[in-house]
Order: sequence, then C-alpha cells, then structure tokens
Amino acid sequence: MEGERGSPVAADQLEKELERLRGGFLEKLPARLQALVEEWNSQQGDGWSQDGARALHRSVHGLIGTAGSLGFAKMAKTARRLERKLVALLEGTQPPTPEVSAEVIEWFERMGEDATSEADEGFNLTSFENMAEWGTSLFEARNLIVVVEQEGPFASELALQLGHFGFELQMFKEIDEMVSGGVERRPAAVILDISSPDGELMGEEVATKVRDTLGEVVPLVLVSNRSDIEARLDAVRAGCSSYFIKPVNYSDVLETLDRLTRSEPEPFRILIVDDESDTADFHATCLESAGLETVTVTDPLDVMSQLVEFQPDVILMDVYMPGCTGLELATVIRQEEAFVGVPIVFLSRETDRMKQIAALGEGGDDFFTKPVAPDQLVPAVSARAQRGRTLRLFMEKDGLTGLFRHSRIIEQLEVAVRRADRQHGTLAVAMLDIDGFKGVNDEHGHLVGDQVLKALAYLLRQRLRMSDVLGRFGGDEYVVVLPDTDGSAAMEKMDDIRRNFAAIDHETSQGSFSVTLSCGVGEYPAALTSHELIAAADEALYRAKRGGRNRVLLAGDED
Amino acid sequence: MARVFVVDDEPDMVDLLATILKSDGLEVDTDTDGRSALARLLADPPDLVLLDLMMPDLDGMELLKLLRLDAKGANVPVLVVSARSGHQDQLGTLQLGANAYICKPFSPRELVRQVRQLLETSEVETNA
Repeated sequence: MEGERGSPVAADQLEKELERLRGGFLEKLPARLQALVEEWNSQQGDGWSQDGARALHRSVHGLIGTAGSLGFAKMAKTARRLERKLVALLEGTQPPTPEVSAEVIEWFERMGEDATSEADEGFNLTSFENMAEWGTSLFEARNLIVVVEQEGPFASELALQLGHFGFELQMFKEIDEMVSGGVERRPAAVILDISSPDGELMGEEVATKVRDTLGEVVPLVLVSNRSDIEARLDAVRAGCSSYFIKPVNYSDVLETLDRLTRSEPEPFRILIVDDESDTADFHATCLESAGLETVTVTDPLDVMSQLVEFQPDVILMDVYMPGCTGLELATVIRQEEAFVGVPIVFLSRETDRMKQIAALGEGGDDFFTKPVAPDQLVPAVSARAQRGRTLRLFMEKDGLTGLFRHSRIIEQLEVAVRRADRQHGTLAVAMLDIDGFKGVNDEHGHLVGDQVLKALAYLLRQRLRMSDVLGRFGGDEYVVVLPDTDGSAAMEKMDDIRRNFAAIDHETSQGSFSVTLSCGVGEYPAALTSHELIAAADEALYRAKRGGRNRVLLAGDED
Repeated sequence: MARVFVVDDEPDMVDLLATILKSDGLEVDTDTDGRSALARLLADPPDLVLLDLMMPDLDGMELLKLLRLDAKGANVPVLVVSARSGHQDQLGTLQLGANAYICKPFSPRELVRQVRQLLETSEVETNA
C-alpha cells in the first residue's frame, strides 16, 4: 500500500469507490463479529482479564468509527452502546455475570443485523454528509429541561420553581412516551425520576433510551429514593452527570442545572503586536485555525486602547519595532494595574540568550524565536492563556455567585460606555438590592442567606443575554450592564426579573419563604460616564426603596 | 503533490481515508500498525499525518509523543481522526502537539477541508 499515487477523480467515481468499500466492509463483517464473539466467550469465567477486555473494547471502538463513516449509522449506534457496556465492565474488578455475558453476545448479533438492514438502503455522497451529524441532529434549546417522572408532585413543583428562572420544562410520565416523539429540540438536560417500585435499578436501560432519542451529549440528572452505593454506581455507569436523593432540595437542582447549561467557555483572545503585517497575519491565521480569537496591532502605540477593548488573554509581541521596542511596551503595560496579570510572550529572531533573559526581566513571560511552528505556537499560547484566565477568574469573580466583583464590573462598564459612545448606541445599567436581606440572615441564618444570594445570581444568568455583564457589588447589591438597551427596555427586563424573583420559594428546614428586590435603572446618554451611570442607577434604587420596595424605577423619572 | 500518511489499525478505515484523499488528488501512504508507522514517518516525513488514537500496542497518543520528540517529526502536521469525541481527548491531543482533530464518523467534505487547510498552513510556514 506504499506510495500509491492518486489522481483527482469525479464525484461519481468517488461514490462508486465508497460503495465498493461499503460492500467490502459488509462482506467481512460476519467473520469479524464471529471472531469477536469467540474472543468474548474465551474470556468468560476464569479466562477474564482486564487486558483481554481492553483489547475487545478497542475492537468495538474501531467498529464505531468505521461503521459510522461508511454510512452504517444504526450499527454504529449499537456498537456505541456495547462500548459503553464494556467500559463499565472494565471499571469493575469482577468478571461479568452469565446474564451480562449473554447480553454482550446479543449486541454483537444485533450489529450484524443492523448492518445488513442498512446495506439495502440506497446510498450516495449526500447521505455520507448527513452521517456525520447523527446524535446531534436536534436543534439545541439552552433553557429546555425534559423531566421524566412516573408519579408524584416532584415534576410539577420543580416546573413551577424552575419556570421562575427562565427554564422551560417538558414533562413525560413514561420514558417510552418521550422516546416515541414529542421532543422537538435537544434539551439542555434531562431529569429522570424513574426508580421502579420494587427498587430495581434501571438507570442504564433508561439512559440508553434517552441517548438514542436525544443524542450522546445530553446531560442526565437522576433522581432516586435509594442512597446505597449500588444505585449510585448504576447511575455512574449509565453516564449520568448528577444524582439526587429524594426529597430533593430545589436549590441544589438549580445549581446543577445552572452549571450544566452554562455555555461553553469563550475562545482565548490573543493580541498580536508586530510591525510586519505579514508575520502578524501568519500568526493570526495559525491561532485562528486552532479556534483562538486574535486582534492584530501593527502600530505599538495602539496597544493600550486594544488592551481595554479586546481584553486579551495573552499578548504576543515582537521585540523590535519602530517607535517603541517590545521591551519598552511591556514596561508600559505592566504599569497599568489592570494588565499586570496578562501574560506577554515575546517573538523575535533574536537568538542571543542574554538578550532573551533581559526581555523576561522587563515583564515578559516567555520568549519564542522566529519562525515559530504553528504546532508549537498554538499549544504554548493556549496553555499560557488558560493559566492567565484561571488566575484572573479567582481575582475577578465572586466566589459565592460566580458573578464579577466590584472593580471588574466597573472596568466592563467603562468598555461598554466607550463602545456606546463610538457607535452612538444605547446602554443601560441596573442596580438591584434584595429587600430586607438583613432580616433573612437574622431569621434563617447565613446559609439560607447565601442560598438567596445564589438564587438571584442564577436568575440573572438565566434571564439575561450573554452580552449582558453581571456583577455583585458586595453584600446583597447587584449590578447589571445591558449594552444596546435603552432605559424602557431595561425597565421591562428588570421588572420581569423582579416578578420572578418574588415568586421563588426559598426552602429552609422550617418551611419556605419568599423575598422581593428593588431596582434602579440608569441609561446612556442621559448619564454619560460609568460614574454617572452608577450614580443615576443608585439614585433610582434609593427612590425605589423609599417608595415601598419591590419595584423598578428609572433614573430621572418621577416616583 | 502533497503526501499524506494515514495511520489507523482498522483496514476498512484506512481504505476509506485513502480513497477520499486520493480522489482529491493527494498521494497517500498507509500503515495499520503504530510501531512500523512511526519508523516510516521518521525515515521519510510526509506533508501530513492522519492519526487514529485507539490502536493496539502503540496507540495514537504515544505515537504522537514519540513523533514530536524527534527533530524529524517535530514539525509534521498531524490531524487526529478519532471516534473519541470528548473535549478532554481533543484538548489532550492538541496539547501533545496535534494540529487539528476530526471525529469519526466524519463527512468526506469536512475531512478534505481540514486536510487542505493544514497542508496550506504548513506550506506558508515552510516558505516563510
């Protein structure tokens, strides 16, 4: 097979070739499956070994990829299930029981049947394109939660509570009801409360049904009566992300859903400073093809404004530039307190070790010699960006609520003001304060108080847009920055949040209670600077409090 | 003509990858064994390696590490083609020095797009 030369062929030629490969795969499949079954049988009882099971797992894993890529989607799915079973067995130390063993053999047989039935269905290049998407074909809805519950008031109570946070619930009594249709969008999570009356474990079976219907990636939350290890193990093997024992504390469920539905982390942002635009473009292309975001600056004097605007995770900087060297620039950047933590990586044709060390002394974190291979550049830059981001997270985010801290929210507000200024756009700032929060702490204790603070953070995260900036100012005071939003739209949004917050039941060991919040809104350009906006919102908040609480007021409006 | 080296222990997968790449006008070398693949890759580095992760004996991750250790293999672009779809796996291989990652099952068009992109990038780099 060495050094075969290929010449470009037409699409129909490729189709024929692929059909031939499918034929070949199908022809050899029975013998292959037979060999795997024999291998499996030889490992039963005393023949069981982890190494043997691992080899078998590898073979099945290989079949998933090949079958799927050759268009045998059903068979690939069956193989994927078997793989999950084998992985679970590998994690245990005991050889499989005769029942499990028989089941595995059934899966092998099923794969053969799947492939045969799929072989007759017509096939072309388009079906190949579709093939890559199985499992994720449903459009994802970030706020949709599917609940399967056979009995009891759990689901309807949960629906009520989660509804306040902006989650939409779809409920089914039976798992088969969900399987047979009715779910049109891929939910952000599935909550299963399906413990059978006789206490039989069925997590794995049910989880498989859910995955077949909704795709591989949907997080599963299992609610159960049982607290024993067996039941937990069953959930883990079924691939559940979370396990709750009844009676369920809603704020725990909420915390889990908040974590599961939070969006993917943003890509790393890299600021490239290089006076040679060709070199800069090359580095930008390398980093972007690996999924990183870049902004290029060819004039060193533009760096400071981009630092504020783009908020890079890493600065990649040439050492020799006209006007201002990289070393001087690094010193200037490090003088700004806000950018002390941003890693700076120098790039240069400089090979003199002494000069490199001098560069590190000026506040650089690393030194690369040009030309840098993309496969070294990308991991090196990503690793530094990750480290920088983790560090910053600790510095910037409030530990309890995960929202931005005071100093950081002011910075973010300043960025938003500059943007609104440049684009002649709108911008609103809201300040929120929980009514009588001191009373909550006094009456129910700090743990319950913290639960209330977290509930408001979840609510804000669920109800507001990705582009909105959320912060905790300290105590029970929150700040929200809403770009491209005028005062009246902000009022509407915040009033919606006020109503939902008031409807939340906060649970304690002595029953539940509810609290309200007050809110003041300031808008740009009625207030022009970050300072004025905060002052305007604060003034409106003060009036809302004085006017009887549980209300939202706009700055400058009469009571 | 650019030369692509396919490493996968599944003969059918090797055939499929080779067929698609050849239909796009590329020269293709293949190997179904990690050890012999590594030796051939270091003896005569290709323009691009397509690498499976889960292989017996020497698996894809190990092969990648060994390839990057050697000066001859340090800069060869590697596209990982794997049925493992977890973010951790993807991140792990990228940190080990893979250049890109594509999940099985894949679409032929997506495969060709990624291969072409990697070949272009490495061309720019060599000429820079």
